Amino acid sequence: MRSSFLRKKEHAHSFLKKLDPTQLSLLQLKKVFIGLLTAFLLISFIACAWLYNQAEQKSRDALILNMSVMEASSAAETIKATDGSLKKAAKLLRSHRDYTLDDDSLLLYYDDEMRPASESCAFYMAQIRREKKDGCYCFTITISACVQKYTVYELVFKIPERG
Amino acid sequence: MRKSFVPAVFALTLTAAVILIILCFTASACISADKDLRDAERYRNYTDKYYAAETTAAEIISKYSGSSDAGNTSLTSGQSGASIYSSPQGSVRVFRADSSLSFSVPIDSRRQLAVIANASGNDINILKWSVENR
Amino acid sequence: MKKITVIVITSAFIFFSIVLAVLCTGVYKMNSATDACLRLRDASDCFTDIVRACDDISSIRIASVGGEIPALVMAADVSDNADEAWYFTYNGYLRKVLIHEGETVSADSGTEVMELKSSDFTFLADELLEVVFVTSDGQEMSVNIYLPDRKGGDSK
Repeated sequence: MRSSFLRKKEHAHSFLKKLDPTQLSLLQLKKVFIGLLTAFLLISFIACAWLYNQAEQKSRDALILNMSVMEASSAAETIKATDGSLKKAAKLLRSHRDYTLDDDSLLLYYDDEMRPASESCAFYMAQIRREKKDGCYCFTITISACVQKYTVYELVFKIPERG
Repeated sequence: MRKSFVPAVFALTLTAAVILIILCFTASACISADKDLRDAERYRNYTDKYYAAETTAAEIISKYSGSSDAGNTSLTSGQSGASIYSSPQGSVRVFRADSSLSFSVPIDSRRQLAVIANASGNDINILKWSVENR
Repeated sequence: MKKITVIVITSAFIFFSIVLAVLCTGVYKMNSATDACLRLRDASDCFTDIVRACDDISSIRIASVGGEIPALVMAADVSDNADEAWYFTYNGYLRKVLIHEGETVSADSGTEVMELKSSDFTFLADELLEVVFVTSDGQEMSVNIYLPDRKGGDSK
């Protein structure tokens, strides 16, 4: 065992002697450079992935918000034309073939691109609630995600109560 | 050793350049998406302001038509035929002649909702309901 | 060792080039979707603003240009120095034509308001106008606009 250790030590010595001092430092430089470059590549890749994810998320949020405002506005205009009758409004919203109607509430359904859809493939929904207050009908249109339950947009407006 | 070192460094630098391009590209995509989101929020605020003005108009008509149950706590008397209605959009001057009402509700710094209506009880007849420049 | 180094570096370069191509495709799709949505929004806003700015709601009616092109007609603004304003889509643009009473409207006259492929108008009720439009990239949408106390039915 001792002899094998001594043989290894002699081998290392002779190897080191063969190497030029400048070549030894070049080797170290090369290793450092490759190490730095690899670290840079990894960090850059992670940063790119994060930035791209952020861009995609914000772009989607902007699209959904724009479409939600348009759809809520169209629904509000329809409700105003029916003097607050949700039943009549549901019939006049022709692009919505599927909806759920209660006494003071109407549910409309949208797909993942905020286009009118049926309840079974709904990604978003608009809940229209009606309240009577101070001689006016007060409507709240809340557009929210069906599964995650977060609110995308809420529109509140009033119309005078007519005879 | 030097000969094999140079091409390897060159190739690695090229790869690093591609990574930098990707980094700049995704950063600009992120900035662009952020701008789109802020633009969507401005559109939302623009729409909200319009419907807020409509809400104020509905409340004014309801109060002056007498169909409102609430007391006229936000009214102050002004000149004859004119009253001032306090609203979230500011003071709105309401002109009255018999059952006829005329007022303009500010929507934002540039627009207002001009309304002329005949209102008596639940009988409301809108003669004008349009957006004008202030 | 030399061969492995070359292979690794070449693979990394190819991999990141593919990543760049995939990212470019993804960003292009995002931008296309945003642009399509903004075109829909601009068209929806345009029609809503036109109707809301009309001083005389009872003047709003539906007609057609040359018996073929659906048009939305309303009383012109006082500052326009005309009697009627006609809005219709022709040759890829929403157009506005101002005329005096008795004049006829031709499809290629008027000013271009915005890019639009087609538009159609219907009165769903006396006080509710439905505008169905198709943007220049083929996206279709309908928007309802309230016409307070408009009297009269569909004159189409």
